[in-house]
Amino acid sequence: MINFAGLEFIFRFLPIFMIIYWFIPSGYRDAFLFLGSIIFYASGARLFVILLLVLVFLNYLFGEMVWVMPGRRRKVQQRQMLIAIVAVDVLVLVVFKVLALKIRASLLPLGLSFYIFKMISYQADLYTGKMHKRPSFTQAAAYFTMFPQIAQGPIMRFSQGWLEKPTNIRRQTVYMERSVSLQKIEDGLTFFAMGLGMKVLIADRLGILWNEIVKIGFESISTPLAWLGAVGYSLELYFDFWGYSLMAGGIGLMLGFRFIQNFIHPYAACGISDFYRRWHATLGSWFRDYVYIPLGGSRRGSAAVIRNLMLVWLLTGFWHGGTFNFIIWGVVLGLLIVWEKFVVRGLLEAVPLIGHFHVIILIPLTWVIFAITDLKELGIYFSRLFPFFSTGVAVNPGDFAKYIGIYWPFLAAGILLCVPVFYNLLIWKRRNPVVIAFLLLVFWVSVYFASISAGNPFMYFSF
Amino acid sequence: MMTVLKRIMQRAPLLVLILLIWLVLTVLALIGRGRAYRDYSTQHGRIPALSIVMRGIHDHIYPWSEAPGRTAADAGGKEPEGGAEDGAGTADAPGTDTQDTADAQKAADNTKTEDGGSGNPSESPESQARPAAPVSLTIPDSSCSKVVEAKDYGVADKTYLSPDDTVYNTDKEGLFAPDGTYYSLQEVDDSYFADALMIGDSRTVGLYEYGDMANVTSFLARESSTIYDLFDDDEKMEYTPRGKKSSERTLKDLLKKAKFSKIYISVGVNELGVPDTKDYYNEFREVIKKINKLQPDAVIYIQGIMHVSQKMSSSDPVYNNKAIVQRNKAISTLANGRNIFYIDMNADLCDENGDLRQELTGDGIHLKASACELWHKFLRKNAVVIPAAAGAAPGETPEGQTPAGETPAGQTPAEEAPAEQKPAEQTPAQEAPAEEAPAGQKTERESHA
Repeated sequence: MINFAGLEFIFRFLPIFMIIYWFIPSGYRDAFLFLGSIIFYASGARLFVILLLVLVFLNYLFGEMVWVMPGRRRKVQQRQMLIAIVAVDVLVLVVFKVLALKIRASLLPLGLSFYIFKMISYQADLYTGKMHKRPSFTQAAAYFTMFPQIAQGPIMRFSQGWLEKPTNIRRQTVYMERSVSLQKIEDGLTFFAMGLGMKVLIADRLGILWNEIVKIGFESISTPLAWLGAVGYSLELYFDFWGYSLMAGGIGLMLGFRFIQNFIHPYAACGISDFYRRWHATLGSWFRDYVYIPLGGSRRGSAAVIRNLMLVWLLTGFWHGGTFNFIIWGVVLGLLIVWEKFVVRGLLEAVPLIGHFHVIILIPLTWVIFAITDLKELGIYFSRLFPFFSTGVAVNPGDFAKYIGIYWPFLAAGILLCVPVFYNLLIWKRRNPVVIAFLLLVFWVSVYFASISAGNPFMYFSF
Repeated sequence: MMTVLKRIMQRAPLLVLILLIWLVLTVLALIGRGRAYRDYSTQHGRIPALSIVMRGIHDHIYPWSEAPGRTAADAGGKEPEGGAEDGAGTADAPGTDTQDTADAQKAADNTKTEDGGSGNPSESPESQARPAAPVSLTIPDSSCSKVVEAKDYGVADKTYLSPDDTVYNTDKEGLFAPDGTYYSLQEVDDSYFADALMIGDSRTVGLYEYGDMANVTSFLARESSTIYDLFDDDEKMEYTPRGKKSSERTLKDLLKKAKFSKIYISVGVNELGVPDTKDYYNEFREVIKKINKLQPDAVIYIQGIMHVSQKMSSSDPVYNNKAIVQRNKAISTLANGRNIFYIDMNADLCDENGDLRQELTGDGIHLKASACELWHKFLRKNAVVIPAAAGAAPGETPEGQTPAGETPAGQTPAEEAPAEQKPAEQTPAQEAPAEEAPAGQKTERESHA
């Protein structure tokens, strides 16, 4: 049920939730969203739901004391409360990350880092006076737990969902309530169908290509296949995550929230730092607002900027996983961004093509570092990408032809969708009968694939 | 009412169409539920009824179809024994009930053509010749591999297993019973495989692509093929005759048209998700009977299922070594040491816990490309050579008389014999001439002495 692309979610949880949500009075919707989200979370994370509930109560209670009215001066006590609750949140995150790393991966509660990040941003926003009104318990609880975002983000800010538009009516500050409409449901469904298609029809298919390469063993793949694998894995990751984010954004829209954009055509970026403004944008802006800027941002000279950038990227690496390859991944990206910012800046401005080249060639290579947790294996993969010193073992020179023959439609569809104009056209023309027919097809073909793979409990793999 | 619907349709066409199709598919599912879709489950309503229509499309079953035969993919529950015959066995492959008469018929054929030779694959002549069938015959260790044990990590889902004390083959006579005629496993060179056929799933595809055997032997393999669908009429597999290009063939069609002296079967990993071991054993038994009927002279090698890695075995309720070992034990009882042999390469590939060594596998299930050569080597080291013309009387071919490690010079007659006998021993099932039989056995045979 926890998987948006699963039949149980699409045909059971979501419709039932939406029908009740539609009919109950708007004043009860936050409470119902909290309740539904807890059921949703418990179905996937089981006992970790207790941890979530404890954190929700704790953060709400501390938040009551952290809140600073806009325009008022902050007191020492509020600052202490902020430090205390952020320390608790960070500690929980670190403890579970370490447990998962040292003992068992299953000890990491589902979506922990996403809701912890939301909680930290909530506290920081309360403290810095960004919230005009003290949030109620149901608002805070619904914000922390809301099921479209709990498992994999996006990391929405509280102000994006609540207290969004204070308007003055007869000298009274009134906050616009979230409203649901058929129009919003239709738009949400459009995004959902698109995301579902990306996940099931592109990412999951390309995932099989990567599995094949792992199965063969990196020392035995030809260099063309190594590059195909890097591109295929990059696209898989992109459409898996972008697809998920679109589904999450679409569900949010159905619930009456605004659409949270998490991916803004990263592969059209004109450089690595631009790529990461567009890739998982809500995480990037979270790091910017709550780590980079508090550290001083870019106001304290080049040395401090480089230190802050490297620190942020080191943290990003840690956040993605505890193994050493993620540290390398973060450091490499930090270095690449520093390189772009300080060394070749003039060149990039003069010849934007170089920046695009960085994105298209270097980013897939960084994803290879991301993909392979074993350093020795990682070294082998790179020796196949750049076969200057090795010839490989038992390489089948026909492997590239075999796999491109099977996977070219998914690769082609993926590459096409990396070009912004195609996606934008779909969104812009979403009321066009042709687009509706296309999305209808995408939806049902995705359901078909979900049925034949997940529907049969006895054969979830085939070798 | 209509105007409301029209307005909804105008505002939310995608929503309306999705709901409409959902409704139609649900109706179709309900129509076909009792008949065409009877094997599909909706997990007590946890997944929508429409998913069974989708799975039906995948299996070419529609609401108006007749009730289907069993395939591995739709084995949602256990069926009575013999159910497999509906789908797999067609006109020319008799079901269990009629097996006895068919065997008798074949036995008669065999006695006529083979002077009651010992190395032949018939089941009944021996038992008829020696009415007091020996009860205590055990296959000597040198004839078959031992089933390699593995550590039980306690994660195996019992749905897929049979009770540990299940007794499998208890035949005292017939194809699967040892009769005192035994051959020993020994080392051979690649020419041995010239007239062999490797049947299997994706693991065998790996052996073909990376095991340096494409020019050595013939393959009939397909990803995710299982013992349940080997004899399905619509299960086409990739057939690659030795050193030639591949084409799509069904096993039945191939065995009718081409002749092989050795047939290797390596399946079992996909079936781990189909209950249960006893059922797997029964199906395996039927498949061997069918192969033996079509190619009575061929030596059949049952390859034990290769174990999975420790990581997989200690976490997966389906793909774990506890289940694999249980299934290997079951199918190993089908070996008779005479023309059916059980070979198990896990001893060469696994660590002390019986887990597939991590450095040999990328995904925990398959041998890496660079490790496929180990499989090839294992096959070379574990082959039986049936002596000249297989004409020796039963008692004259005791265990060990074929010395292990004999050079190909010793195996020459054995390999020639079946080929020369070919015209004489055509059984009715082999009406088509052996036009596709791997040729060049003699010329290809090089002595490594």
